[in-house]
Amino acid sequence: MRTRWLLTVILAVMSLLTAQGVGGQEISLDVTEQTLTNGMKLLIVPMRSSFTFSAYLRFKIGSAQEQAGKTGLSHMLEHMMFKGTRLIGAVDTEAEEPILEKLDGLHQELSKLDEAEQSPLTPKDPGQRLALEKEIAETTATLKRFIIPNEFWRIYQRHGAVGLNASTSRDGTQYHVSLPSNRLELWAFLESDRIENPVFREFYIERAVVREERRQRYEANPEGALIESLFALAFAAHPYRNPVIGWPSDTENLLRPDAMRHFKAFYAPNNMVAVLVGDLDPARTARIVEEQFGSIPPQPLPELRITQEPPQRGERRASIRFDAQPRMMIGYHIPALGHPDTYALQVAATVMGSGRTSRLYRGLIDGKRLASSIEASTTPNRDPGLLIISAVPRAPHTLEELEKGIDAEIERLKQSPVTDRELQRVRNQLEADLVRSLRSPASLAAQLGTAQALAGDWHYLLESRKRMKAVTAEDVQRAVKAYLTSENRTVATLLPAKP
Amino acid sequence: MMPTIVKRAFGAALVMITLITAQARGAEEQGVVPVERRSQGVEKIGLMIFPPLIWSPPAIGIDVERRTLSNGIILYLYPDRTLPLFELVGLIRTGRLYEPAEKPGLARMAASQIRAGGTTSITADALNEELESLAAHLELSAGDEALEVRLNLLSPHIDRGLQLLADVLLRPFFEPGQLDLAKGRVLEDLRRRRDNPAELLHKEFAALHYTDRHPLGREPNETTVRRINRDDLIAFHRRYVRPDNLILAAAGDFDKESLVALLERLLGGWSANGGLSLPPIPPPDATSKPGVYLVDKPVPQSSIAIGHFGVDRANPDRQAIELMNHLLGGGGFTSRITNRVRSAEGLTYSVGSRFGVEGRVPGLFKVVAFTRTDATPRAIAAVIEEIKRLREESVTEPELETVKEALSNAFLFRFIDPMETVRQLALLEFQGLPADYYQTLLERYRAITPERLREVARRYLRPEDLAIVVVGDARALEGALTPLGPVKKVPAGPPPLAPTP
Repeated sequence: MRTRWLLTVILAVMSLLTAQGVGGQEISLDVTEQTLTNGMKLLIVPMRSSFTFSAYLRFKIGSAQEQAGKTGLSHMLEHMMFKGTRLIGAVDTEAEEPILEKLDGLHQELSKLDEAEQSPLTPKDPGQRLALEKEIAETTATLKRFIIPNEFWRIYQRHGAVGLNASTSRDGTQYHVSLPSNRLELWAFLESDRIENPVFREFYIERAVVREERRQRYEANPEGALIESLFALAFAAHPYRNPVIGWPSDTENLLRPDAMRHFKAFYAPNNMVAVLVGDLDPARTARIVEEQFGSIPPQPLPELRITQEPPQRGERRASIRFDAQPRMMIGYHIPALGHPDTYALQVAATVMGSGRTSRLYRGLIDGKRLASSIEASTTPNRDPGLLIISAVPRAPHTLEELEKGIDAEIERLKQSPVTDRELQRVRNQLEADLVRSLRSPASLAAQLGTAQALAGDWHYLLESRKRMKAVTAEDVQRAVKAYLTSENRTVATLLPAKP
Repeated sequence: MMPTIVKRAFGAALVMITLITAQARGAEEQGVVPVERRSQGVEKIGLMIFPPLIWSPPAIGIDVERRTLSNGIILYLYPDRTLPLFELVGLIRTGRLYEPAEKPGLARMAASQIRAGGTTSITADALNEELESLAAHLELSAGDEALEVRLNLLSPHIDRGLQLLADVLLRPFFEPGQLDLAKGRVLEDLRRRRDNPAELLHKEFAALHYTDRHPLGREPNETTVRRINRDDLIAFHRRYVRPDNLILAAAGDFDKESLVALLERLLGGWSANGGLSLPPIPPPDATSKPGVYLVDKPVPQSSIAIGHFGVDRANPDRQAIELMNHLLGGGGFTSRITNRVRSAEGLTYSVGSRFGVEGRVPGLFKVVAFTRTDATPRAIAAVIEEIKRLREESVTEPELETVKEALSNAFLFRFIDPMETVRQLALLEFQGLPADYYQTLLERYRAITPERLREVARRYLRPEDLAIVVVGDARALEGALTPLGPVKKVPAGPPPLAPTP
C-alpha cells in the first residue's frame, strides 16, 4: 500500500532568469521552483510560443558512484528504465516476476562458472555450461510470451513524443522527452510509474545491446578508444578513470538484481531534479506533478566513499595502436565545478580553442599548419575533472611536432596576458549562447536541470556566466600557469596499427 | 479552418481501442495469443482525456510572408520577437549534383572558400575577427543540390551582419592562403577516410551504387583536390551565386519593412551577368548492385549496410514509402527491424532504415546495423527476413494506426523553431513542391491503407536487388558470409596518400 505524502511544501519561488543581450536588452523567464515533501526538486519555466513542452529528469547518480567490479551499472540501469513497469510492457506481470527471478538465478550461476573458469588452472566443465545455456534460452523464450515489446516507446511515440532519450554521464543520469503541451498528464503518469514500479525485463538481452554500444563507441571508433585511454591514465585513483559504459568484463557480468539494488538506492525522489519548460501553466503543472510523484517515498541515500584523486606528480603518457591515422588528446587536471579557478580555465579554453580567431586555430591550423583540427574543452564535473585538448595532426607533421606547437601556444598564454579584445569576444559569445539556448525548451530544460543537480542551484547557470565574464587577463594567465603544466598533464596518443 | 490534430488522433485512438478489445476477446476464445496485446497501463491511458490543441502548420501568405526584391531575390519572412535573435538562410541552386566529373568536391570547396577567403573589402582574418566579436555565426555549406548560407546573430547586429553577408556573397576574394589551407585539410581527411568504420560504410555504399560515373558516387582524391584552383572558385561563384538563383529565409527579431528595405539596399542592386546556366543533372544509372561486399577493417564490430536504390521526390508514392520506412526501421523502437535486431535479439545498439525520397535524383534505401564480428551473418539474415516479411504480410490496422498517430501528433514539432519553420517553407519553393505541402501532408498519410502499404512494400523493397556491404574483419568474415553469396572484397577507396611519418 502506498503511503500518501499529504503535505507538500511548495516553495513557489518566482525567480527571474535574466540575461543581457549584447545590445543590452533584458530577457526574462519565470522559473517556478518547488520541492515536494518527498524531496523531489521541480522547476517549471513557462515559454508560451510552442504548443509543446520539454521535460528533463536527472538523477544524481553517475558512473563515478559505482563500485569496482560493477562499472557501467548506472548506464545499464538507464537502459532498463525503458523496459516497462508493472503496468506497462507486459501482460500478467505477477506471473512474470518469478520467472524473471529464475532467469536471474541461472545467469548468476553462469557468471559464477565464468568466474571460476577464468583461471587457466581450473578444469572447464562444458557440460554444465551447455546445460545452463539451454535453460537460459528456454526461460528467456518463456518470458517472451509476457512481453509487449517496446510498449513504453510505442505509447510515447503515439502521443507525439519527440527526442525521447536518456544518457548517463560521470555525475548523473538524465532522461528527456518533448511532447505536445496537452500531454502533461501522460508524461507525469509514465514517468512517475517508471520511477515507482519499474520492471527490468529483457535485462540479459539488453546487456548484449550495451556490449555492442561499447564496441561501437569505444572499440571500433578511434576517438572513443583514445578518450577511454586518456581517462584511464589521467585518473589513477578516482572512479572518473572508468568509462561510463563500463569495462567489458564488468558489464558482461551484471545481473538484474544489481540494477534493482542500484535503482532502489539512488532513484529516490530526494535524489532527483525535474525540469519542465514550455507551454505550461506553473500552478496546474505543479499540481499534476504533486499528484503523480508526491506518493513516491523518499529514501535515505547510501553513504559513499569515493576515492579522491591525489595530486599528479609528473606527466603521464599513454599510447594505443589502432587501425587509423594518428591523433592525440591532452588532459590537464582542473578543480571541481564551483571552484573559483574554473571560470578562468573555461575562459582560457575558449580563447584557446573556440572559433577561427582562437589561439590554437590561428597558431596551429592556420599559421604553422600543424593540425587539421583542434579543440579545447572543459566539462564541469562534480569532482575535479579535466581540461582536454584534442588534436589531429596534418601530414607530414607528426604528433611530436603538434604537441610542441600546442605547448608553444600554452607558453604564450603564460608569458603574456590575453588581450582585451579576446576577453570581450568571450563575454559576447557567452551572452549570445545563452540567448540561443533559450530558443529551445529542451535545451533550456537540460541546462537548468544540470545546474540544479550539479551545483545544487539552477541560478548557477547565470552565476557561472557572470563569473566568467568577470575573469580578467591576469586571472587567465595565473590559471594557465597553475594548471596547464607538464607535471599536471596526461598525453594520450593513437598511432596506426603496425602492419 | 485547419483540422485539430489531437481531436482526430483521440477519435482514432477510440476506434483503435475498440477494435483491439474486440480482436483480443475473439483471439482468447480461440486460445490463441492475440497479436496486438495491451497492458493495464495502456488501458489507463486510454481513459485519459487530452484537450485538443488548436494548431495548424504555418501557411505562406498568412504566418510567413513571401516577397521579392527588385532584382528577383526571393524572400521569406517570419518575424518572431520572443528573443533578440536573428537568423537567415540563403539557398543557392548548385551543389554536388552539378559537379563536372574531373572536379568532385568543387561545390564544397567553393562554399567553404566563399566564407573563408575574405572579400574585396575585408581580409579573411578581419572578417573572422569581426564576426566572432559580434558572436555571429556566418557559414556556408554545400549539399547535393543547394549551397546554404546561414547567418545567426543577436538582433542588435542585424545591419552589420547582413552587410558582411552581402559582402561575402557578392565579392568573395578567395585568398590563396586560405584555399591552400582548406586543400590541406581535405587531403588530411582523405588520409583518414578509413578511420571511422561507420563513415567508411556510407561512402562505400554510395560509391557502389552511384559509381564514379555519377557525381554522387565520386569522391575527391589527391589529384582532384590539388587540381582545384582559385580560378575554378571564381568561375563557380560567377556562374551560380547570382540574384536570380537565390532564395532567402529570415526568422526572428526584426521588423519586416525595415528588413526588406535593408536587404534591398544591400542586395537589390546586385545584377547578374547573362542568363543563369545550370548544367543538366545527370540521372544515375539505377541498375541495382546485388551481392555481398566486404571492406576490410580489423575491428571487433562489423558495420553493415543493406539496401538498394530508392526514389526521387517526384515519386507519387512518396508518403506511402515514408510510412513504410517508418514501420520497417525508421521509426526507432516502434519499427520492426529495431525491435527484432536490437530489442529481441540484442545484436546491435545502433540500427535503422532510411529510404531516400527527398532527393532530386533517386536516393538510396539502406538498413544500417553494427554487430560483433561473429554475429554478422545472423544480423544480416534477420534484416533480410524483416524486409521480406513487410512485403509478404499485410501490416495490421493497429500497427499502421500507431504510425499515423505518431506522425500526426509529433507533426507540430517540425514548426516550433522559427528558423526551421521558414527554412522548410522556402525549401518547398526551392524543391518545386506546392506551397500547401504541409497543409495536406497529414491527409496523405491518413489515406494510406494496409493494402496500399503492402503494395508499396512489394514494389519498392526488392530483396533480389539487395546489396550487402560489410566493413569489418575480412579474415574472420569472408568464410562466414559466403552462404549469402559470392563475397566481393572491396579495396577501401582511392589509393593511399603518401604515408605519414
